[in-house]
Amino acid sequence: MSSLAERLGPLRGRIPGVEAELPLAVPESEEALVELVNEARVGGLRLLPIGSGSRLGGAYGAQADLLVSTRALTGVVAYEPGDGTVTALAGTRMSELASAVLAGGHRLTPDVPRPEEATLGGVIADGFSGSDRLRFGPTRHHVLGMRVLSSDGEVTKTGGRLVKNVTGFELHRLYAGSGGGLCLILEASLRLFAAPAARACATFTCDSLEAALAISEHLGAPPLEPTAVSLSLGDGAWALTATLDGREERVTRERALVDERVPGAAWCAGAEADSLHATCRDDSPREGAVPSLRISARPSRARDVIEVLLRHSPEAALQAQPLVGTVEAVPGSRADLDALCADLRGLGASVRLRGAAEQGARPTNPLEQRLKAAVDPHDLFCGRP
Amino acid sequence: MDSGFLRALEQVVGPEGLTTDSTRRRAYECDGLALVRRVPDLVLAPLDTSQARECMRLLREEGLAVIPRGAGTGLAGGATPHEGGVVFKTSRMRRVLEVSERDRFARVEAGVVNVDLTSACSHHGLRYAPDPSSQQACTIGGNVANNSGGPHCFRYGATTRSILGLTVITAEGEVMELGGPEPDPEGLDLVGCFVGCEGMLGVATEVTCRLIPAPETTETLLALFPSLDGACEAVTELIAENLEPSAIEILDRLTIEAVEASVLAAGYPDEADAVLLIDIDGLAEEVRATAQDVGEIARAHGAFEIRTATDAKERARLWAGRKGAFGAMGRIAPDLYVADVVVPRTKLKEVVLATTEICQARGLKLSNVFHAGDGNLHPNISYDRRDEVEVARVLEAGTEIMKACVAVGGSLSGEHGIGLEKRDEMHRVFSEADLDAMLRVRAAWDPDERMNPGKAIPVRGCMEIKTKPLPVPSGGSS
Ligand SMILES: Cc1cc2nc3c(=O)[nH]c(=O)nc-3n(C[C@H](O)[C@H](O)[C@H](O)COP(=O)(O)OP(=O)(O)OC[C@H]3O[C@@H](n4cnc5c(N)ncnc54)[C@H](O)[C@@H]3O)c2cc1C
Repeated sequence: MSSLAERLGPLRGRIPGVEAELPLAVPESEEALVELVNEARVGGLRLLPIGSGSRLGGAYGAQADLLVSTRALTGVVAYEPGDGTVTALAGTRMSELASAVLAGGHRLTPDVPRPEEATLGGVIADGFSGSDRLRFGPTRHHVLGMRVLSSDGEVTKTGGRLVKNVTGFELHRLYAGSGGGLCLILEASLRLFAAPAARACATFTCDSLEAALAISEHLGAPPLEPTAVSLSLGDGAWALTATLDGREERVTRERALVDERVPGAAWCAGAEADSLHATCRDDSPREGAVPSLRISARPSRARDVIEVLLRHSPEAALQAQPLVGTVEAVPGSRADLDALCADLRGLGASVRLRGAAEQGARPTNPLEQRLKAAVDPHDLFCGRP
Repeated sequence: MDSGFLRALEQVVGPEGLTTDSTRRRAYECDGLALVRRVPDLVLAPLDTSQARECMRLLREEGLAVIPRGAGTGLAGGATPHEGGVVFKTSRMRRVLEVSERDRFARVEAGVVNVDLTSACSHHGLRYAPDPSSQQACTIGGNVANNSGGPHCFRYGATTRSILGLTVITAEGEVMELGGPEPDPEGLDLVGCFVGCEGMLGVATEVTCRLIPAPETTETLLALFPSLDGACEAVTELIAENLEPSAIEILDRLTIEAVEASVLAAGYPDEADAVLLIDIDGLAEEVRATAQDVGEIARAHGAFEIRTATDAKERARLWAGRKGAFGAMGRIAPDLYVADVVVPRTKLKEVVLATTEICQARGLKLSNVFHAGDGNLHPNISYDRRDEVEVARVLEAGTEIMKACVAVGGSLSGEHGIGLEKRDEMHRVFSEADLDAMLRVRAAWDPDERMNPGKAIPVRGCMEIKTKPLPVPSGGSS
């Protein structure tokens, strides 16, 4: 234990919702990380893996003795522009990764909020999907493979760097979104898509949720295929922003289709559209004193979900992707949280809390319990999906 | 088998759900990998999830191995009962339970044939994207278990990207509802973990599938090349240029001849040594522009003609020829060994050349028809299984081809899975520790390893490895 204490140094971290500060380890190399994991296991300490700490997941940290960040493990391991794949170490910032692949004509998906803060490992472990999910699907679909560190100090690989591959179980699907509860992600490979040649954003301001959702329905009806449609509430008005991008010909035609279906959009294009898209993307509410909720429901229930949320907490900050069926929200206070979650689940929605120490620290589903025991038999990692 | 046990099973599934007769059981001795055969001890065909659960509970009491089976079109021996046991087939579970046009999903029973799902949702303007060439026969459950691909997976992804939820029965007889139509279910991604498990984690009885809208326009191009090399180079450049058609397939000369001589004659040209068959989906203007770029790249790599299908009928014919290609090879020799390997798209030409040399050196007849856009090669070797010497050469060539792929950063299987065929090759890409991690996950779903035993993960002295002492860190105490 002494060597572990020496190694830790003065860094401290605090998890939203947890009073105490915790020691924070930021190993500079994979070897140091392996040693740390071995020492923690032998010493009976529980670890909460984190990335940059920009969006610490549900604060199961109430049970953690130590925060372990992979943020010092950075860099692109392999970028094959001709193959459309990239492999990078877990601590690489999403913004750096996006710039690296843009140079080869690719876009990085997921297009996450505040990419200069978020790390690749953190995003994948958190199961966070980007603003471009409507068009490209969730992050987990683009993870081709990983190298991970298990609680017994072993580095293992799953999947590969190939866009198509069915060699062995897809354990990376299990690790993606596991919230740091199964292993530490060291490195991951992603599939890439073509960088858009053109982009345009349409904004609609509506005085009712109903009107905004009606427009979003038009935006999502074939043959339109927007990259993102996001909805937020501010000063009593609903703002709906659609990002259209891709080949020039596509964007021109999609713009015409939008104007035909829902006249009255405020348009911008090019750099202005890039900037508006980034503003909307980064605008997702963040937990602080009050936990954030990531709500996921069938798209047809988006309206019910938002109404329930606002009924419980009229002052909630929210951002929705109505055509996907996801809502990120921070209620006005934590007073009514349990009842709110229960009502949302009553609609068939799933709810993930972040920054809430009270969230279940152990899986309740028997299969998840068995998986946890099988993959992390030492119960070393205390993250949760 | 104990008659009381058989009676109990018959009470659950009825006489039509139970096959004990040895001649009829013989039909299940292998799947599409005809080289390995073993007659199962029993074949069960429950009608729905509730019958399936009762059967699994009875099988658990007897401690019997369970081999899930869809249509048996798998090509890696995944559904072969090579250690005996009970074949658990889904062929009677064929109902489409729900199609939601609004939320774009369908819930179906696992035995629904792939193409029937697309038919069931087409009148809503929707389709199910994964389209294995075997889609007229293979089941959605089999597609899930193998994470199957297909030509259009180039753009829309393999099966895993289209699966939202599953009803799974484990070897213990537990019914698990995993995922569902919500985009992000709570907890671990158990659906993602199950897809591609090759029947080793449980039996899927119901599947919730994501549907996508049919595109406004589809254009089908056929680019004619004087050489296979040129076609491969063109694909590598299409990828490097970030063009996004929905399917990019290559057929070589021998394949073209076989298809054209069959009932599926598609009008493929006899003057080409290889063709690229490409679908481009999307808005009309975008499709036109992409088609032009594709044409230019193809010409730059030697294509001497680019044909465009003029109507839906011609498009369907071109694709029927592609999808029926494996069947058409029956004209060349009685048996076909369909290799399935995957490489980075930058290495297509190199590896296709290597496979040609490997087969030539062994005097084997090779043809190529493959999902070039995904780097997923299918070197097909025609042979006669009655000729033992030839069989040995075919298997040796298969191994050499895998080695050649792994050497350039490729892998053992792009879509057919590992099954029995490649199980013992897994060490070429995974370490002992990697394989142990898979075994641990398997043990969480199926502690007694009764689900499809002996597949996909090589049998090793892994138990000792699992319990090896943990390293004692410096300065630590244990
Ligand atoms: C002519 C031809 C063309 C082909 N083309 C393609 C192609 O383009 N792309 C492609 O990916 N594959 C292709 N294949 C391979 C094969 O069709 C696929 O792997 C298909 O998904 C198998 O489905 P099946 O219903 O026949 O499953 P089976 O062969 O019966 O079983 C396959 C595996 O799945 C397991 N399994 C089956 N059902 C279930 C269930 N309900 N729950 C759990 N496990 C289950 C079995 O145990 C086995 O391991 C082709 C095969 C042929 C013969």
